[in-house]
Amino acid sequence: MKKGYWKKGIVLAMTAILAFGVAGCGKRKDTGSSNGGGDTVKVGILHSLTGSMAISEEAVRDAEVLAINEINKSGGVLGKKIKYVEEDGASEPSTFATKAEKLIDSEGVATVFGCWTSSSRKAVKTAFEDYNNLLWYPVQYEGMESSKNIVYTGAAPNQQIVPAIEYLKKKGYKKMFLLGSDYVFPRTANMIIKAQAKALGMEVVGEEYADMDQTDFAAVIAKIEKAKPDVIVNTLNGTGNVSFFKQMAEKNYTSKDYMTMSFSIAEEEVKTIGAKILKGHMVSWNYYETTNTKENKKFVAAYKKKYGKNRVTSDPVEAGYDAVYLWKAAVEKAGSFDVDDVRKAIKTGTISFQAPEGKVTIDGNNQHLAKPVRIGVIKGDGLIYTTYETKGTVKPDPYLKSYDWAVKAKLQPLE
Amino acid sequence: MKKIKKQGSNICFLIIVILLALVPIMYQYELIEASSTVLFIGKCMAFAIVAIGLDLIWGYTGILSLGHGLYFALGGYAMAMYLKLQRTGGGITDFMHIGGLKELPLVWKPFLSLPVSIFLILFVPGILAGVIGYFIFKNRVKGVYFSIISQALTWAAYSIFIALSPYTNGNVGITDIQSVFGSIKGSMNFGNLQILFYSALILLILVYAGAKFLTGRKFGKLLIAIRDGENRTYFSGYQVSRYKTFIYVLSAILAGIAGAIFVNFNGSITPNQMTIAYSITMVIWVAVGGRGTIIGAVIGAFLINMCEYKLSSGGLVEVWQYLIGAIFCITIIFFKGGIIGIVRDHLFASGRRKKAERRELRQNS
Repeated sequence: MKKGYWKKGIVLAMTAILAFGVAGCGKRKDTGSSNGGGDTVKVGILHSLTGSMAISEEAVRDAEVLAINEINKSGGVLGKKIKYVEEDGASEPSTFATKAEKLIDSEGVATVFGCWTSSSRKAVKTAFEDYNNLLWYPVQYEGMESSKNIVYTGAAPNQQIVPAIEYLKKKGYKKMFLLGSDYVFPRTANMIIKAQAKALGMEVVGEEYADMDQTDFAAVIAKIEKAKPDVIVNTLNGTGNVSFFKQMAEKNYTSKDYMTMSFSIAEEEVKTIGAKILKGHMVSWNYYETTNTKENKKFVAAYKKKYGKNRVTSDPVEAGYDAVYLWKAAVEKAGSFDVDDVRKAIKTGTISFQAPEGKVTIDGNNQHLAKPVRIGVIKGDGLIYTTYETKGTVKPDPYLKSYDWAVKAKLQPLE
Repeated sequence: MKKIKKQGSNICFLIIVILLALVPIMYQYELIEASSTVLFIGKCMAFAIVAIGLDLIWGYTGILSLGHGLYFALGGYAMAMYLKLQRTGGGITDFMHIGGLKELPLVWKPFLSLPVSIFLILFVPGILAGVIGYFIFKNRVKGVYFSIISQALTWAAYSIFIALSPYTNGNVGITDIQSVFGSIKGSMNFGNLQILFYSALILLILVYAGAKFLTGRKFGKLLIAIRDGENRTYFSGYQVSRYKTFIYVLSAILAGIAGAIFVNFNGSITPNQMTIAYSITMVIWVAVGGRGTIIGAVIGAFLINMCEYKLSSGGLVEVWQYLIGAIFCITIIFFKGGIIGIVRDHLFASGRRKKAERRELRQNS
């Protein structure tokens, strides 16, 4: 008899969860409004909080929430407090698409901060264009894109890849080995690098792509040994990096034997791979936790205070933080939360923010940021230190139109 | 009462159809405030179709396929390529350009025309399943071995799609497309969405009716016989492998159709739809809804997806996967018949249950 009762209880509980799930589908709970009315403004945050991308994306999400809290504490935007609605993209591009539609259309958010992978950005792009909303995308990426409904606060290729190759050339590296994960960023990056190498008179002695979750790099390392490059240009992502560098270390290779220049290793990744292994290797970003500005000291302190001492800030984290402030600046310039008005304000090319990485400005034409570029070296303490820094900011050029070699190599997409 | 019991699942489906048919109307009368909700329910219809296909092979025939994402994605890619080529006007796409291709590869050429594309949406999953099924079932591979093979195939196809990125755009998949009826996003495009929605609904009704028709006759009894006693069926003189191959092909075609509908609503297809994890999710829909009933698959697909949609945001954003997982575990451990089983055993069969309880008491004493 007893058994019957709790079985019934389970049925009830399950029914409750299911009913809650279904009932909520139809109605929109509207507490804050995006344009006018009420004393809050609703924005969306769309990152993967579950699945393989969760670790990376949660760090960015935390920075965005930090910025929102700071803004609310200092009086909000246009006199309204920001209220954020969070959705989980679950590391799955089509879930991202569904959730983007939900945020824009059902929740009626004024703007959305989110995405990390290129596949998730491309999956939500049409939703933002068709509904005419604005996405703030915080990660460096492969370029060749400029949607009027996306503001890209990470680096375009000419603010990360191109300067890094120039730097390698300047330092006398001649033979490059291109190693990447098999997806759109490494493939496009390497297409750019090959064209640039040709123009600079450098040699590409090998090009290899590993599966996203490949763990065995023996064959790749053998190819590298055979090709004898001066430097490995590394666009591996995620777990691939951990395996590759550990296996290099097992063979007792250090940065003195094979120097690497990586585009996807930031402070967070150094922590997982191990500073001992990565010591001396180079990376290219716009921002490091060690970046020496007044704003950065404040930002790092606030981030660690809120989320714990062992957390690190990194380039995407900082770009997420900037995105919220840049949106605020654009809204204030427009005097309205309306997407078209905000975009008009962005179009003037005067929206800027004194960010932890230095002053960043949204380019009115392609909606990328003008930002400084920094080549960094990983040190034994797990942090990355700048060894070379551009004077002032580099103008964003997602299609590399201002580079003759890129134009000659016909890198621009069709359309 | 007896009639209700007998026709229970059909009545239930009728109610679902009426509710679905009302969804766009509810939007027009502002009972549903966002057209994206309508769009999402459209995706659920696609999921329901693939779930029906899975129920046919798993629920009725006892073949557990953990690789139906493969057929779903094949249908999806076929549809997506047609839609993408509509956008580029038949020219090569941006990812082919980045991949170094100069002209449209031969494999994608057929997708310039809609009738051919629709034919291929049915044909490609069908023929692939036919070849695979023929060899597997002829060699009497069954049970867990079949499940493993289905997973391996899905994994292989996934790797191929990733590796051939100049042709398939790797792990980004085919994005930036509109439905066959044009853009369906936003209130101004609601007309298009409505046409698409009702087209999908009609397909769902047809698939349901077809599945009911098949399972309601001798053929259905044979499938159940194969499930419950394959050797006996075999020795009764039936070519078991042929029946199995047929039902496997049919469910693959249904998955292909579902994939094609899904792409129309979703606006993109990625290799994620081809993963083992995604394929297992589909099995979960059927298991939670109640297998071997057809209607259970439909209900499961709708309920689980709507719950995910609702639960994976706001305050529950960190724990929603545990909730869904818990529902699944509880169903599998305690209620083998799924939701349909619960309804059948607790609501409609009170007389039968009392009898069973009495029997139990007698046995215990």
